Amino acid sequence: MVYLLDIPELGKLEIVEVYEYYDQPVLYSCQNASGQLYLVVAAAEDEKYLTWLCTAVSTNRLNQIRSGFIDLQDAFTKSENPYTVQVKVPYDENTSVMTDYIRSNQIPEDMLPMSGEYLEPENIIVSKDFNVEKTVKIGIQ
Amino acid sequence: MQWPDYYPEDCPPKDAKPAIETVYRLVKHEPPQAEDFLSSWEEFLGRFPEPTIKNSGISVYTDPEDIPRLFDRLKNRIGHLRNRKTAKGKLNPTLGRIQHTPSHENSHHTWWKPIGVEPWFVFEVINE
Repeated sequence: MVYLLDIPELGKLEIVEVYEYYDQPVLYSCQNASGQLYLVVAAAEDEKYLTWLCTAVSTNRLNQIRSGFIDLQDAFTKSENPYTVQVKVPYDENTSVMTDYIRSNQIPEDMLPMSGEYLEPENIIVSKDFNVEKTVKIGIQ
Repeated sequence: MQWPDYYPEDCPPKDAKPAIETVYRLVKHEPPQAEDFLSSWEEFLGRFPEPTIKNSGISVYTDPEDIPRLFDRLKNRIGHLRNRKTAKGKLNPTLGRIQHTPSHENSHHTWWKPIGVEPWFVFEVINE
């Protein structure tokens, strides 16, 4: 369980699948208690914050992303919901996490996966705590 | 070897081995600095509900042939890693213990550092 997974704007989240890992999951899908799925990426860093982008996705769209049918940049910029949640996590433990909504089609390019990047289904790590067969794969024809 | 107080029980895992490998890591600074070797728990104090074996260690890779492709992919996909540099370091047993923890890449290892070591001195940036 990482720190991003319990903020009011998104609800308490559980990781569904990890697509990239470096010190911690840095590109992953997660789901809140009401069933909403999010695709999350570690988007930017500066001296004070690590910034994450969290975009809501339907089960069908996540299936397309995880199957490599949707470009990772498009997964954020052409999201079903026109807004993406931006979460800024400060390195200073006494500073509060900040959240904001930004229009998905206006996310700065340097925060996004580069165009032309696609997930490869065989490299996906499924959370041990999650029944991915029951959730994410629903709807696969 | 004295481990940080925050390490959970059984950390490093019993089957972690003394660190002797040559490893590769993405760093922010050239030359590498202490900040480049913080675990997620250390980097984001107070943000995790509890320390775990995973968030107490840091990611390193061992296969030199795999590094360019792997790090290019991470930089292409992950904005916060995009400006990082590739560093290479020869570990030795005083620098802690290491465990093979294959992720998407087979050469992924997790490395746990004891108190008081300065591992950045054995690392050098090998490309921008």
